[in-house]
Amino acid sequence: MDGGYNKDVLDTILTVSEDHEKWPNHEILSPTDVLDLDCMGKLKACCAIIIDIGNKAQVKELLLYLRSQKNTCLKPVFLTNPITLTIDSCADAVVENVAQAIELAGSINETISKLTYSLDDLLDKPIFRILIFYYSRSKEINPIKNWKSEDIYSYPLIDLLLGEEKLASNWLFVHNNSGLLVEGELIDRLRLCPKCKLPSPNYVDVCPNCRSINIAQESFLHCFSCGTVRAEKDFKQDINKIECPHCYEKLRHIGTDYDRPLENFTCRDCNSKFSDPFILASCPRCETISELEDLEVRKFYNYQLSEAAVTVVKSGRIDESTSLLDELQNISQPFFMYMLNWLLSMSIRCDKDFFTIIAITTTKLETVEAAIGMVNLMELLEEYVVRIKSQLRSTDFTCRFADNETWIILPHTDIEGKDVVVNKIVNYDEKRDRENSLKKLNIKVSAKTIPTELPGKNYDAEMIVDLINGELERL
Amino acid sequence: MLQSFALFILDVWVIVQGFFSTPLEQLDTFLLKFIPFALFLEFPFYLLIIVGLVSYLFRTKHNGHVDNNYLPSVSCIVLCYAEENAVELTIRSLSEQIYGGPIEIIAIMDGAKQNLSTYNAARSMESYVKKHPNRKLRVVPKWHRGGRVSSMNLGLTLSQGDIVMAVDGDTSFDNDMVFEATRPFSNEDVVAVAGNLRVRNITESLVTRLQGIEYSIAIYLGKTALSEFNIVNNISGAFGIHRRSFLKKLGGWDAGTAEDLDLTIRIKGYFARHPNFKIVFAPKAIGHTDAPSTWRQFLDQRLRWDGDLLYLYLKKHKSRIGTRLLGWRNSLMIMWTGLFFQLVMPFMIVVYTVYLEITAPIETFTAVMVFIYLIYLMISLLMFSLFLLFLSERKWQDTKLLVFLPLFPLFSFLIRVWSAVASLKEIIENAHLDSSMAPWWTLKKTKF
Repeated sequence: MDGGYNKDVLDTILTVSEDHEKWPNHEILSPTDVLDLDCMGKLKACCAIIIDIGNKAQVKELLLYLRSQKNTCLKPVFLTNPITLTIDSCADAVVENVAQAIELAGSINETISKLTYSLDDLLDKPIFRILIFYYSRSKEINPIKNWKSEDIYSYPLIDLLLGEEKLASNWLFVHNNSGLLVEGELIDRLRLCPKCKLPSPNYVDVCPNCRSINIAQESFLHCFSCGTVRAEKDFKQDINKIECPHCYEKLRHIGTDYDRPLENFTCRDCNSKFSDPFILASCPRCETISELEDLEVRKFYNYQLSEAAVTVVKSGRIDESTSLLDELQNISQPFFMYMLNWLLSMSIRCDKDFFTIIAITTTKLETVEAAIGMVNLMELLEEYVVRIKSQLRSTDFTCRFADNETWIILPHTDIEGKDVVVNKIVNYDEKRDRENSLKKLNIKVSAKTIPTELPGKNYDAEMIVDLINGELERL
Repeated sequence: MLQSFALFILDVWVIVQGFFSTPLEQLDTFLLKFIPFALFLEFPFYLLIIVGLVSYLFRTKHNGHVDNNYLPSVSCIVLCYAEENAVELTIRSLSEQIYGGPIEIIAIMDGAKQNLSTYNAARSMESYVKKHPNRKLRVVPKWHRGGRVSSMNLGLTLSQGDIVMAVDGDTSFDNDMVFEATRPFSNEDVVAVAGNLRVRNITESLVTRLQGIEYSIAIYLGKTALSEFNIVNNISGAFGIHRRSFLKKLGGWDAGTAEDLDLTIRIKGYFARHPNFKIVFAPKAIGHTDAPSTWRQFLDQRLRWDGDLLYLYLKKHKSRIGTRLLGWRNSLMIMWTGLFFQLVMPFMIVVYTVYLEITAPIETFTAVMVFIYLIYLMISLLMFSLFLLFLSERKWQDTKLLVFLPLFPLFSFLIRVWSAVASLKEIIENAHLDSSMAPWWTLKKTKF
């Protein structure tokens, strides 16, 4: 098992096993040791962990534990026997010998060691656990299929690293939108019961008239001589011929003497005849019956880390939800102030050079996230950005003073123009307000048209910003 | 003018009457000079047909036990080239068979590249056939054209049924065809069965109607009777049914044109050594095929058929046509109906007609012609009536053809004359090497 490695190298590998003889030169931990908090230091210090236990439930328990702990979530973990697809996907690999484990762990640890910042703080945030994990493994995020599980497809590792179950799909959706992940191959598309979300509805063919399932396929023949249309069995009283039960004509040739008309189903309840039965989906769990178009469609993709995600991993910095706000193509704050000063001096030189400055603040994003969750927040921000964008011209410029504070300068915009823009931004939020008081950003807007609203000549950029900030606070 | 024409008609009528009322007095003019000897050689043939028919009727009435439980597996090789949508009906009619045993339909597409629409038409039937239990469809594209024979032999190789039938892609079938076609095979001695063909587009034109009458007399009535003596002349290529094991031993079909007649002669080549072997005509196994609908197409087709006949009898199988291989019955039959009727008589008729036209007065010539016409009309009427009364399963449809029967003797005469032309063309031009049934690059390689 040792592959000729010396003790120094082997010391860096922790082996969880019950069979000491199998791993003579190794530091062996028992499964209960691993779960002991005193052992955490050892686990944290090692290069890789090999789990060699026969009891599959115990392997699962250990693996889930290791991956969900901040200190061990990034550790290369290897199994000696495959368990299930789901469990195996949480380990790094199933290895046959130590050499293989050392080689695989080497490249993972090397990638992680090249990161220049301290991981300790960052690993509190699930997003770093996930991004660094996949970055160090150069792996894709793949859905794992398990027909026995209720959802059929899951991303078990994401669930573990997030620390919460069943959030993986949402998380992937959000970060695909935020640009950290790139959608790869579409793996599958499932249709879910709209009520209980079970992805395995039973498709039943029913009578289009009375929706009864008591239908039977019956072939009908049409006698061309007398026009009789009846079930095929009525025509086949004699084994070697087809004879019309009505006119007793022997029907010899399909298409010339007789044909099969299209209606070939009969409902045994309402007696209607039809060619295509109606298909319904019946949920085997909650027994909801739905039409096919009402089923919820869920798609499962492979995901890869985007360039932006790699930058996040390398820099150790992230603007999670606010990255959406960057779509406004903000200019930097000093440049914004410089432009504001420049416009002010222009307006002093010439009265026709008027402009409008708008400040928009929202409730602090963290507060909103805490209240309604990240997915909803992202949705809100997306709408918010779209709304602002729709009001801007290419000559306008925006700047983010803080996460929840956006400033806009609209050159050559007078009071009327200002009111239109402000109303549109504010009204939208009010409309949403009525729909769901929770789901909103509480937008506040303050704006000034210069020089109309501030006719004096001794304002500078900072004074105007302070003035508007003061107004915002009073709102 | 009108008067002289009336006198002419009268003269002709007197002579014709004389032929009927006092043949002995007219013997010198009738028998020696204008002997329509063809007639005398044909009479025994018609007699043979009548005897055969009586035998058939007697046999089926008194020994009519049909074994419903004999259900061998059947492979239908559908030969497709450019039949377009017609192939759908062929496949449909095969899957609609009421036969209880398994039927495998192998549609071989010759030159599928050029005939994509036909290929797609056949593919479109896959789901239809799937709905029928015990029926299987396999569409096999031969992307490069290789000719009929290559398709048939490929089909034979791919087929798995005990009974193999080769059918044309534009031929459809009655729903009891497979049942009827397989009945004779319950007799171990039967090696092949000739299927019965009807003209599907019979109402399309005069020429299809006349061919319809011809098929009724020559195939339906003729082969039913010949089958009684085990001397069926040809297993049609559009509808031939074979015991697979025997066909395999023969090595399948042979390259070149008229592969159906060629195969028939080769099968008969075993008859002298195995007198128990039989080729049976199944009158109730009915296929419907499209006949040429214009005179031009019709004459082209006959030019090919009759030319191929000469090629096979006089060139390719010259050595087989003795009693040593064929047995005396089939040898005599080929000499008589094959060689004499098809090859010699057409020339005799042409020479005789020309000779008569030159030497005899115009009244006598016309009278002889009218006489011959009337004799043939009576024979045709007799034969067609026998068919209608004792064999036809679509009596009303066939009765309607009686209106066209008076034209049939003229039609037959035309066929005879045309047959002479075809033979001449084959002798002079080796026309069988120029067939539309296979590409030139394969025909050129055949050995004869």
